[in-house]
Amino acid sequence: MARILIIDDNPEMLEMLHLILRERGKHEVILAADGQDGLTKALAERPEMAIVDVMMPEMTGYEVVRRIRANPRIAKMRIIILTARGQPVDKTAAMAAGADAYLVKPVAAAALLDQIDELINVGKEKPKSVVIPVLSLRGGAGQTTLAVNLALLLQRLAPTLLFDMATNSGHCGFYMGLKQSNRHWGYLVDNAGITIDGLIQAHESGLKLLAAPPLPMQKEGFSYDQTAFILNVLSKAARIIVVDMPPMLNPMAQATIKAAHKILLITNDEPLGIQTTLRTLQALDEDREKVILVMNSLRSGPHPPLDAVQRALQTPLAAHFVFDPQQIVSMQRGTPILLSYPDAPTAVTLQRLAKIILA
Amino acid sequence: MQNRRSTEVIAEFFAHGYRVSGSFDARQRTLGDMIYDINTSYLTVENAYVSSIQQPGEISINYPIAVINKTDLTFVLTIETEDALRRDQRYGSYLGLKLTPIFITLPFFELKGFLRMPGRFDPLVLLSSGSERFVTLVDVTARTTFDSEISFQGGAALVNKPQISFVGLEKL
Repeated sequence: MARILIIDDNPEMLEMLHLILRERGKHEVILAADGQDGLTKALAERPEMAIVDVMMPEMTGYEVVRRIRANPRIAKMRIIILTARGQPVDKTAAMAAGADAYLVKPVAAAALLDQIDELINVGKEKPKSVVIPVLSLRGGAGQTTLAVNLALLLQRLAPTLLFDMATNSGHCGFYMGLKQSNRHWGYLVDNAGITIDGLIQAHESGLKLLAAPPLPMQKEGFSYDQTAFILNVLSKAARIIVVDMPPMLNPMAQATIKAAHKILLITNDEPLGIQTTLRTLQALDEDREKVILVMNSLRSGPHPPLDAVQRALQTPLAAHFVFDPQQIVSMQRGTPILLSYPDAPTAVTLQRLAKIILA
Repeated sequence: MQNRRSTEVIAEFFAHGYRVSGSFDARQRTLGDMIYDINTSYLTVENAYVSSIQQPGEISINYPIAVINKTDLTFVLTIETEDALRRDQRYGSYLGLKLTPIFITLPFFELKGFLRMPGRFDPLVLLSSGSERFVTLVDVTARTTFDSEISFQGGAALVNKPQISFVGLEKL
């Protein structure tokens, strides 16, 4: 059963769909008589899916879909366009607006219910592994360094895989001291026949790496559903998957967040960093309870008091990585600090953080 | 679309580089009867959604009521064949109904479909607009002349004969 919002300005069509979905599909149904009403109810009721008519007077269905996709709070909602405009160009327009599926009126009840079931179940199967995205939407937060070291630490506890999700050339392999390889997930984007197993690299510690493309990508990465599928496949290779996230909430990032056990959000104590973190927390509203906030200080010298930073962020900090000059030396050597300086403050804080993550 | 009725027919009207999706109330007369009626030059449709033929998937504007000038129509397309037929075309013929493949060119469009008519087919009689201004094609695919990727399909099309510039036939 799902909560489904129906947006259609035709009262008869609303009533008919209401009956079909409630009686035959056993779904919970929310009705909206126009686009604006639909958007209001989508934000207030947070349904899992919307069925949207196209030909509505004040706001067309395409505009409704575009506005849903533009709002991070409801952007992940599944959307079916159901319209009497049944030409190939109309399907193209519906999919371009952001719909997940397109059906033409009059639609058979069974076909509609099948389509709903298919969309509701996509990406619902969560990976068996523990997925831990490491995220900072502001560059220069030391995200990759933390992701690499965390993955190395977790590898000591259970088979772990590090997924470098950067779309603008990833550096996880470099930080791990691995030679640049042609094996990276970018190959999957262009070559559907390739298996993921052949793209995974291994570090001497046993940590596995699915590297990012070495050059900035010229096209979109994977879709939400493709990413969910890949995380499921990767869960066969490792019990824990640490993801070095892209600096954006693209469909790959959204699918990873949805599958996540905990989300490691990294901030610093600079005003712009705090501002970005606050906005990231807003964007992660639906998954807020999974967020573990971590401060990473990347410069020496005076810092604002932690209390003041926590007040500004309105969220407690789970860990604070103080500036550690050995971090820079380790990075230059291509040996992560956890291996080169196992007693360094960074390594000690990481161990505390790992306990919190796996609790 | 407000107060949509079971007798409502959704049709696509094409004219002068525009696509208008609108609904026609066929309770009293079929869309075919209204289009073929030589005593009326206009057709009223409800809930009209207007698109440019350059971007036919995007709706640029809509109106609850629209009046369509039949003389300037290029063609009308319906998903269901029955929706575009006149009452007399809905029944069979003692001579039997033959399907004749036909290709025609129109402003902005080329159409492929079938003529569904009894007896021997004469293209000159077909193109003569003296008695009937429109001709009915069935199982129609319309492609725009400027982009063959843009196509429209329908069970039937009512084509305005004076707008036809070329007719292609497989045999006479």
